[in-house]
Amino acid sequence: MTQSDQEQAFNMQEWMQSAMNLWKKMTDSQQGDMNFFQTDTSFTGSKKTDQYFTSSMNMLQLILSNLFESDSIDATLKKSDAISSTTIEIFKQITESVMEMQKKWIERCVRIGKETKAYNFDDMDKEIFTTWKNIYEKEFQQFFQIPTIGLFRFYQERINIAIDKYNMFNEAMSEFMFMLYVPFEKSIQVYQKEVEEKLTEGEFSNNFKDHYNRWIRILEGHFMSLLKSKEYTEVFDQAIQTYVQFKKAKDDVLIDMLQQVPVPTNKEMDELYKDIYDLKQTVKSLSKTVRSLTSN
Amino acid sequence: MKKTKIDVDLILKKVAENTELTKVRVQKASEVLTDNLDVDLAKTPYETVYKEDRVKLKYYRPETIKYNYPLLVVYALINRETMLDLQPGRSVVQTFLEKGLEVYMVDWGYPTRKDRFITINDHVNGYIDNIVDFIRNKHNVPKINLMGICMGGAFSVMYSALHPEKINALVTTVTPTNFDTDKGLLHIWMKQLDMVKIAECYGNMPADFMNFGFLLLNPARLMLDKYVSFFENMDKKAFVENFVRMEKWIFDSPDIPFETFRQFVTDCYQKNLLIKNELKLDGKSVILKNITMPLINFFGKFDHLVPPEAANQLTKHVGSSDTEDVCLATGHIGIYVSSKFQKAFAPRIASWLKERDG
Repeated sequence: MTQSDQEQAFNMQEWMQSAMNLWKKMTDSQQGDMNFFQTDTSFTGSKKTDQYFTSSMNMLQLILSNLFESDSIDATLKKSDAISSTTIEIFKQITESVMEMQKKWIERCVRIGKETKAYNFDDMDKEIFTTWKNIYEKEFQQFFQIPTIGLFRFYQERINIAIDKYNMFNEAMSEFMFMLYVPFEKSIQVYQKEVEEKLTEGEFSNNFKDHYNRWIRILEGHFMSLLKSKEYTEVFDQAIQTYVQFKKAKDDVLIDMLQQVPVPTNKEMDELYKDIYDLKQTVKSLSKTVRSLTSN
Repeated sequence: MKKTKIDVDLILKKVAENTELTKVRVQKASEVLTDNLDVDLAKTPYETVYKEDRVKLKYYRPETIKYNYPLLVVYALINRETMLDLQPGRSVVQTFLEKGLEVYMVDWGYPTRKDRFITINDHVNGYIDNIVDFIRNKHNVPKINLMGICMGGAFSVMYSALHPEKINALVTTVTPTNFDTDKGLLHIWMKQLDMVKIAECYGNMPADFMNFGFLLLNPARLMLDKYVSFFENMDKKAFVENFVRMEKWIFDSPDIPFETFRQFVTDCYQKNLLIKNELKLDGKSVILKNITMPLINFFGKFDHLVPPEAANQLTKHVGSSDTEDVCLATGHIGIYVSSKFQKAFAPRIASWLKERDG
């Protein structure tokens, strides 16, 4: 033990002795020495609380007595070191986890760059959407699928699903909008070629309307080809499906929220509407029967 | 090869001229657009004579009644029946009235979420049958004439097959009955896209979704060229009035009840049950051979929603010996509103019905 440790141990011993005396006095007083603290029947006003207090005091005395021993003081100081080390270790672990997560996210971001870079942006095609979708499904979607726990797990799960579905819908919608843009790009390219040919043939019109009419016809042709294609139908269908999934997930979250306010949800109203519909059918059928019976 | 030089001076001169013309046009357009425009639809007076749930029956009375059997017009659940009375001079209803034909027209109203369980059977054997009975009782006639439009035409075909004794003559216009065709984009999409899921998650099939789908059938013309044309003519009052009227009609779309939409998509578009006599309503098979009354079937040669292939099979499948197909060189809406077909369409129906007025 160093001199500093010895001084520390001595101070600790002194503090513990005074604390011991204080709590002993307090404990004695509750036993009846200090009348101003107690009522006729109880020190705290409740016998059960008195018992609890006494028990706690005894426990404290026991701990303090134990610590009062010089060997124990030394051990306690060592323990306090250990507690500090543990705290630091925990912080270290958390920091390392955060850093690791950040590192992984950065790696993912870099990977996105590499994946997209592999494709020619000058001639951008819909592959980029497939690539992004794959990356999202492989790298990000899992975060929204982490199992939720606890009392509010179902609510949290529905929020996670809604966010995930929104991301999927955004991806599908971007691809769909891109597809609608393609005919514009292609029609301008085709028309540019036509203009070059017309110039060569000396048939270039100075009337803007002629150019517009020709371009819109080319654009219409491109749209017709696109709209009839299998690829377009697939992308359109994907946009619809992801939208439907997102809307359903969003509605589930809203229904959770609406449970807290005094308004009926669509689900509740649909049940009511179904009852009304069935009742109306019955009434109409019975009315018809009555009418035919009375007319006969 | 000799290359032609672009006359830059001439182009710049044209640009300057166009800029000046545009400036004048915009100035005049601002006067037109802020003027009192007549953009109301369906101005022919009528009386509401029957109501059931959201459904109303409009009655148009001619000055002189010249027909024994009144005509019931069943419109589609998509868009509104006001299209038949778009404006004076382009009104099918007015033409019928001028010929002395009493016209009843179904107004399906605007379905809400509470209507989501209503089926095709509820429309055909419920609303239409009740309306037909109402008219028969009111006029004290055993039969009436029935005219169906698009989806309303399909309903009319189903009704005529199930209740032939109540129909004197059947007029179908742009009516899809054969769904086994890939000619129209709508037929492709209804088979390959799961539109029913949209209707399911909204309660009914939202009109805005359908309108967006219709615009996507020809984006270049319907989303771009149409408005370029408006910009070019917005200084002409008559053009603006017609344009706005049409815009009002196009985007005045009720939602379609979910169950009806689901059945129409699955049973008709996907399974093609109607033309195969396999469709069942309220447990009864819809047998087209039961259609024994006279039938005239109109369709548009350039109809991109109901292509001729989807409409021209009906007459071959019915039991009637008095049938006629009429193909007009126009589109889905042109049959009713195009000034070119005002004489080839409504007057022809009126004269055809007159010949079968017993």
